[in-house]
Amino acid sequence: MKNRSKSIKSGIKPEYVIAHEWIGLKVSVKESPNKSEVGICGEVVDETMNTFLIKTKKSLKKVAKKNRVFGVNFQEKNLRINGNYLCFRPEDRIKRGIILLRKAKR
Amino acid sequence: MISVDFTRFEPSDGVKKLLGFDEFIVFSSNPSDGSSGYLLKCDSVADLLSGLKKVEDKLTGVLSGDLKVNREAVMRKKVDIILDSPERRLDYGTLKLAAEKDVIIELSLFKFLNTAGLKRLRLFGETNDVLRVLKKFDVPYIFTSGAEEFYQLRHSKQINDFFAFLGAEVEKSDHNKERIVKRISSDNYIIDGVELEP
Repeated sequence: MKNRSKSIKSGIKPEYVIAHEWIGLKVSVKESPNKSEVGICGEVVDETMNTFLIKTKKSLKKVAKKNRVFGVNFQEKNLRINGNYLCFRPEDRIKRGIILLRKAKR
Repeated sequence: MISVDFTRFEPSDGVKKLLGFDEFIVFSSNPSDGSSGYLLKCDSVADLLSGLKKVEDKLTGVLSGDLKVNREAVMRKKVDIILDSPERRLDYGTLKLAAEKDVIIELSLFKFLNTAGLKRLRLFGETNDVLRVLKKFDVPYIFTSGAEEFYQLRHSKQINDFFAFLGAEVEKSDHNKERIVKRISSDNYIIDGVELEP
């Protein structure tokens, strides 16, 4: 059973993080126009259309998605994701993410 | 931000610095030579389809004066750019499709250089119409020299200033060029917006 769940998980490609649920993922802010945001790392506890609420060791931080680059570990790979491609509502993420993935040229 | 120009011939290395470019992306008709891009010149849909079969995993630009060919090219996943020429015709529907399919429209300076008078006036009019539709549907576009020979090359600032005068947003063109360069040269690139951490 464990092996089966592992193989199901490993079937998801890294780029599917755009369509994936982000609440519960451990993220860090790699780049931001606001220098005080760079280095914020923690778990995503809530999400809106334009922001992530990240639980750090000390407090909760609300970080905008636009023009930021987030680092996340997904499918055993360390990824850097441009927040401009995440700026939609979490309930729309699956639909919009899959549209983005279909459009994408690799 | 990387400064890139798209040409149809290979300029010498010294020219890059002179013209303010970090890199040149050269489109050539031979898919198996070392150039970064494949130029597919076609007059009919059948030529387009047979040409696309020859290329695998390479930046592909389609050069055609036919409306139907451009419309078909925009719908193909292998096509990355619709290259510019004086004979190129793009209609409203093609540009709208280009936005959906993420196909980049090239707007180049070289076609203005060889024209004068009424012809140039018409070119300006057509370019203005195209830019209006590109803005409306947020179609990805790039501004290049499109040079086929040395004397058609221009400085990056001249190209950007020319198209800015016509009312275009140069930052979007630079952003799209950077996307293309990352797609073809970065080992960490997965899709737009997602990269592996180096």
